[in-house]
Amino acid sequence: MASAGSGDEKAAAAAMITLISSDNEKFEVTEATATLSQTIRHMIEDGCTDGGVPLPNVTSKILARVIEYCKKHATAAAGEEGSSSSFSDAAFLEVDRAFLEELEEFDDAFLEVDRATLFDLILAANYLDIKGLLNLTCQKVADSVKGKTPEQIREMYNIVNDLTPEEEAEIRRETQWAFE
Amino acid sequence: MSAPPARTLADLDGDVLAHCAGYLGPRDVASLALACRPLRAAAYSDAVWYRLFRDQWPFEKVPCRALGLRELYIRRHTEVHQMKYDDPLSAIYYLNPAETTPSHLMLDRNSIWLCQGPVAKKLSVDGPDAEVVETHRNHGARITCMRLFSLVDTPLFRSDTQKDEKALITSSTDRTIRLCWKGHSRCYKGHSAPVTALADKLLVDSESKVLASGGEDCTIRLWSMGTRAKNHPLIATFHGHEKALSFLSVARHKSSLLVSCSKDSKVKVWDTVAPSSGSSSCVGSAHINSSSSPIAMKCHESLCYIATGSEVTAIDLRTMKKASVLALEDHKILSCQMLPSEWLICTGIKDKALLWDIRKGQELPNTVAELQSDGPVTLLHLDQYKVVTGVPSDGQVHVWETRTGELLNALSCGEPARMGGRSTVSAMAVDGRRIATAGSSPEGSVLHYRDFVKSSAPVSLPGKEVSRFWRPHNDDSEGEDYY
Repeated sequence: MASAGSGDEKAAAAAMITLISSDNEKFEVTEATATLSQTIRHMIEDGCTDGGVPLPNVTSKILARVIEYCKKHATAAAGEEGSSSSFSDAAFLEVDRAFLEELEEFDDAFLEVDRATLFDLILAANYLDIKGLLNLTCQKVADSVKGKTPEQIREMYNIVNDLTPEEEAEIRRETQWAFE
Repeated sequence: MSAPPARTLADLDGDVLAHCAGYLGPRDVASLALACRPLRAAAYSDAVWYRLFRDQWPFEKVPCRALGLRELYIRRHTEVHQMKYDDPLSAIYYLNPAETTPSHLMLDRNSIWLCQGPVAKKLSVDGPDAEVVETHRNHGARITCMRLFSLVDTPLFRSDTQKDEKALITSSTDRTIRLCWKGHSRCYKGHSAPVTALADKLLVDSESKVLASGGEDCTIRLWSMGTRAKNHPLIATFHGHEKALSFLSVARHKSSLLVSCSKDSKVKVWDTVAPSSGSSSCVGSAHINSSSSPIAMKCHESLCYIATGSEVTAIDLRTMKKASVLALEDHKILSCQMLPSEWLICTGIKDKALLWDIRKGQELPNTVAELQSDGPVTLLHLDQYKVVTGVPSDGQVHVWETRTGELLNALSCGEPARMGGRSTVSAMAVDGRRIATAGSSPEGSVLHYRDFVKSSAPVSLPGKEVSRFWRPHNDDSEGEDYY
């Protein structure tokens, strides 16, 4: 079993996918990395990745970051599969915990970006359907909003208030209970 | 190709915004909705409200198609706050019959504070059990007033882990004021007669918060809640009143203004910033022509509402101009609750409670509803969802819908095993969907706590049709679709 597993991994590692950013930069990634994106996974399954996968909605700058995330988490996923076959081994659980901590640190560092980049990452994660990255980035946005007044939210994100005074009054009326 | 303009939050598409909002609670979702149109659309989406609904009520059925999920959430939230159910989470605590009947009761989340004569206690409710977690026996005589303030604002605050804690402040006829939290306490001495009033909020000084107290010595005293003033907390003494102080309230438009009302219905306004002893800090005064002592006082924006005799008067604190808000002819007001933000005032009189709409204050005031009762309504609670009325000689309290005056529920306060026996209600406290009552019968006193958040069986009052919308879990005979 073990040898068959590593053989599969080798085969997966050998299969490379080319991703093409909106500004025509090419990125070579392993299939294991690329399939963290459900969108790309479906394309691979449909056999339409020959000659590269064009991603017209994602710039090279953002794609590089997304790939960085996927690489790290693909290794994490592989590591989990590896340890699950011998889950009773305490040593493996210890390794797992250390790995998860490392992954958490990676995620924290990964989120140290400016707001515009964060939004681009969210849109890319949504378009590529990478669940983990979407959750991570959306949680970051949610955290930035927590406890803020509408005015503070507008100021923080340069939002122009396009609500009419009547609409605003209506929302206030409808949501007043939440502020009790 | 030129770089596209930097994206902002509102540029994200609706699904993604809804995903972000999925990590927020109702208050933050509401703030998001108020920022702009795209954010409102995301914050109002069904996905967000389905998750909020599930977080709050994991086992409640959600009927399809009936309403939008936000409307559904609000409906459930309203019904829970209106206590329209028969099966609240209920906890009963038996008080020692040898002890004094509770006179004051306060509720904050699942904690209850009560005082019995000179003793103050804190009970913690966990599931069906309630237990006394703190007992404060520092006072030598009867407690006259109790307040809860954030521990952060008091000198007992030590570390950030305590920032959600509440500290208890009590005044007593033993002339002292006590600040208590767990095993810690402070004593404030200075009044030369019983202390009769504590301000409803803490005043804001430049450095720290300030507590105001008033007593039968006709003085108002300010106490620093700062840690540095440990040995000399008394900042100022205001003279000027000729009778004992009944109420103290902090103005809502300016948190350094204190409004005081004495037993002879004289109202004074004090500027507490850089106070000097004496009457020079008094910046305004008014006299309400009433032969009886004040019953309730509440500040709202720049107004102060005061109930005396059979009248409610509003005073504009900037001009000290008085306006009669409502007059009840010859009915004496026994209790009064004010909700000026909703233009509502509720008054308890000898045989009922009257709910008033004060928007047309200058014309004939409108009675919204008459809430009939079997005796003098001395216990009263008013919020935007409900009115709760209590008659001491009655063994139950009644819950009424604020907008219609419809009777929603009747909650017994006596010992459950002895329903129907003579029991009384001595105190009541309401906090949103939670209610605590202190009742006594010849056999002893009980403290009854009810939380309606998880309840689901609609109340069945005699002669009333029951809402069929929220049914018990096991009843899905109509075969409706659920999420």
